[in-house]
Amino acid sequence: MRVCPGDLLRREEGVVRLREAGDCWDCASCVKACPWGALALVLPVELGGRGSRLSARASPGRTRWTLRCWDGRVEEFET
Amino acid sequence: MSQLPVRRLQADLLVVGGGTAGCMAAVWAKRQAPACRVVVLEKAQVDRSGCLAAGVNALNAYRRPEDDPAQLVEWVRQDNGGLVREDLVESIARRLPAVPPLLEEWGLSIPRGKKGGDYVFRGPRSIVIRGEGLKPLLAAETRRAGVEVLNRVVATGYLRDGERVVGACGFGVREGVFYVVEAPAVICATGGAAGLYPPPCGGAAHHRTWYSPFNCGTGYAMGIRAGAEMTSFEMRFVPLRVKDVQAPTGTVAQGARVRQVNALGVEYLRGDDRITTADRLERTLREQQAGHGPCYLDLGRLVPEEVRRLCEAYLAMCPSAVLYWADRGIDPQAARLEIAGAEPCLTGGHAQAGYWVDVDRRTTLPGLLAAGDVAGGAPKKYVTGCLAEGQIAAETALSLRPEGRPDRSELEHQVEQEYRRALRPLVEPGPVTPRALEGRLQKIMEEYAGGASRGYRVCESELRVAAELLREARQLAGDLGVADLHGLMAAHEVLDRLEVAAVLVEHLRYRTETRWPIYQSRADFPERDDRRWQCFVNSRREVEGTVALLERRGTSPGGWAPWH
Repeated sequence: MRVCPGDLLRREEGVVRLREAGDCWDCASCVKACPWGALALVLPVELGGRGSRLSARASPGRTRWTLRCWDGRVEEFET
Repeated sequence: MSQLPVRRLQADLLVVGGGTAGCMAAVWAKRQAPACRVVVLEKAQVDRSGCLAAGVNALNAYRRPEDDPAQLVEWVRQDNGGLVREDLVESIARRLPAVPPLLEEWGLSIPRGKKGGDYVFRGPRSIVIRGEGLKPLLAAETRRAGVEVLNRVVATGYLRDGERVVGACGFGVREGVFYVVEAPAVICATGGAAGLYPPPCGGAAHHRTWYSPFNCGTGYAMGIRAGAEMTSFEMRFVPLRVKDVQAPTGTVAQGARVRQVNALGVEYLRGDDRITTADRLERTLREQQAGHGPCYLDLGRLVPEEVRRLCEAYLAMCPSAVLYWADRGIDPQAARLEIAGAEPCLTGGHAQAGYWVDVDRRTTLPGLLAAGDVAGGAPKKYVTGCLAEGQIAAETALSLRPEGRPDRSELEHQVEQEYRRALRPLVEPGPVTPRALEGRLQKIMEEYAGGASRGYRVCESELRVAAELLREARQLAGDLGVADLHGLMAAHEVLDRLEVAAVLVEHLRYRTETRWPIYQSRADFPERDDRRWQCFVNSRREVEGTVALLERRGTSPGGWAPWH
């Protein structure tokens, strides 16, 4: 919520919501910044729609990514 | 909501835009003069704002200390239709060797070659970095240097004392405060302009663009409104991207040796050819027009370890690409990646649309400097060039002396006017939404000003229609209405884009040759004409609102004298 470059996340009745999915750049800044690892990138129907999820945990100098494919496959990456 | 409280600040240096160039300018100023008060107005949050929000996996403008800067200048010149501000490019080239070591000092990890000495080169001027976290590092350095960053403040206009720029106004999009920051020196370091043309994909993928969709040309628009001289808006930039995910093709084409093939599997462009970005796009369009599309990057020869490296390279700057492959069931090892041209945008970091500046980065308005994507005349500066320009602008800013005290009553009058203009869509809301007006703008630009579906070509008869339709659209801007401050930011984004688009169209009309194919392709003047057009097309908005165009000649280093 703090870092989103589009000011797109806001708290509504205790829940963090995306104002408008179409305004998201997919930069994943929020995904990396979330202290609970609660956020993930999911492609909209226009581009994907099967529900694969990309999440990340950032620590200084390193980010670990988890890709959960719609078919159950899980892959890990590091940047 | 009706009125916002006004908060006033006095700084020694104001930086508008806390992206790559802005952060460096602010840090550099504090390094040279620790006692000076440096304030940054940042529309988003400095840790993840600007083009580097998602990261970047290479520094594409680098020069070894032992390499001649003149070689780099010559490469940039040849790559850009033989017309660039060589003095500006050279001033960047001189500083490039020192930039990566400085970033390393700030914590950036840059891999070294096997012998542990040199960087890992991806191309002759491009080095690999682990840059997913580059922007947080820049932001941390900005804080450490003692710069005051005002996050979530949308800048709307400059404050003037006669010709001189003496500060800027903006509104806090979360806190609901109207800021008035006065400073004897102002550096504009905002992004260029995306969203002038329709995005490749609509609906919930509306902002899946290559260039940051939050770069709305605000710095350009502020300059245009203040009567600054702008250059080369007709040189748009159009990247060749992996279709739909907007991932760079360079990462693949340069990092791993892959082939560019058409639907028949025929390699229509050899990877080792010495060709420009625009050439690669033009050849791809030609294949499509010949009925040989879609076109692909053929990754067929990658081994699993290379695929993994490719995924990680993309995660460090364009993470949704990897998600896209997974969701679509595409195996990058076995498949071909479809490529396509994106929508045109304006950026001085890749092409050269921007403020007309002297070699010290002074704009034509006294007190105002420009660095990064808003500064014109020096294409291919990329991240490292933006950082170098931030340094140059900071050094010049510190050398400026305040010229007397601005006329208080005149200044207060300006603040009042800008406050009213900035808040109008919120205080007196009309029926037009920002999204609807953006749609109108993008439709005009696509159809009459050389959008992707028109093969990027323009001609006078269509551009004249574009100019007329933009005038209509600008009248609708008075009827914008929004419900909250986030909406007000969206309203200003489209207002600024309209301002920029009107100037872009006049520039496209003026240059009656084709100097930069794709970026600036005239269907009615398809040839390059060096005798007539070896000059820059500049513009300045007159008081009555018309755009005056002028030509500037002379390209030798040092041939551009300061103008005040």
